[in-house]
Amino acid sequence: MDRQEIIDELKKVLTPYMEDKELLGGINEQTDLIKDLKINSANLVDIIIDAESKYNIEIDMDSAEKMTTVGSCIDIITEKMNSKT
Amino acid sequence: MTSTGNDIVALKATNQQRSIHPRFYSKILSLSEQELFYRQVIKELSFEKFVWLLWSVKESVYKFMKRSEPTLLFSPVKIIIRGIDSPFRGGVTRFKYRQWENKNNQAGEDLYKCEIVFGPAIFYSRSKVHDEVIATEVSQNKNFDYSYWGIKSIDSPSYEAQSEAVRAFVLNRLNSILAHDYTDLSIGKNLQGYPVLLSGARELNIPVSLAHHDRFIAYSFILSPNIHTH
Repeated sequence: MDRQEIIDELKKVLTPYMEDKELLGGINEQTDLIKDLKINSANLVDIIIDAESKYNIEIDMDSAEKMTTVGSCIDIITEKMNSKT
Repeated sequence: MTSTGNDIVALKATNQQRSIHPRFYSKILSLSEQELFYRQVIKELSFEKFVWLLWSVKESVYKFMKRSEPTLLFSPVKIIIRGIDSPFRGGVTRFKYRQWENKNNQAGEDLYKCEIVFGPAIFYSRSKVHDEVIATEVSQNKNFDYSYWGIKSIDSPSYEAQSEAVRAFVLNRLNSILAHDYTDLSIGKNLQGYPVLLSGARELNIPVSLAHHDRFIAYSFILSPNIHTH
């Protein structure tokens, strides 16, 4: 799965926690989940758990704390997927 | 360090079933914190409320620290709550106010209080826990001297409505206290995206923390003693 494919799947993970879904149209790797997508911090753990299920990976808390932007989410998801193979 | 941090959780906007699942709460609570729940002093709290109470405390500490450490990342399990005092009031009640604001020298009635360790720093929190909402303020001063805190319910859960309402709410309180000292108060954002209090174009050294979730908003701020005495 390349980075674009991960972004496409990540959008599905983020959508339930966004009030303005149109913001997803303009995302890039620098997009901040809280500041730019207006996701409430109370949903951050939900997003980590949903990402674990979506990609069949386990995200430890040292990694989870780095998942603040779309790019860092892709980095962590890629790392965890590669470590399985 | 002079700073402030607060957080608010609207419980209806959380996933109750998920909140009490180990896969969820183990990402927020350490084992020692999970054991705190089974102590008799907090038996009136459901586990769901306990999880979100500790979340709100940890998020408040993070917001307090982030002001002076812009690169800090939020890792809930690294912020350790080592004790909780319950108000012993016999049960959790509804948030029956349209808005609530602390008063000067108010005793801590109805408040859950925690002591928190984050690295070398010690923090103290006070929280209001109701059926619909949990709100927390943290300080490094155990008595919360010169600390101001408010919680309000609003009609619209939209992000824009929350953002606008919380700014109006805190400015109303600030204007009532600072009208003799400053004019044209407004809330801006610094480069890190943190709220700052402005008088005209001048940034004031008065830390402000804002929080909003669904139909609830909250603020905290701290004044220096010389301003407080006006």
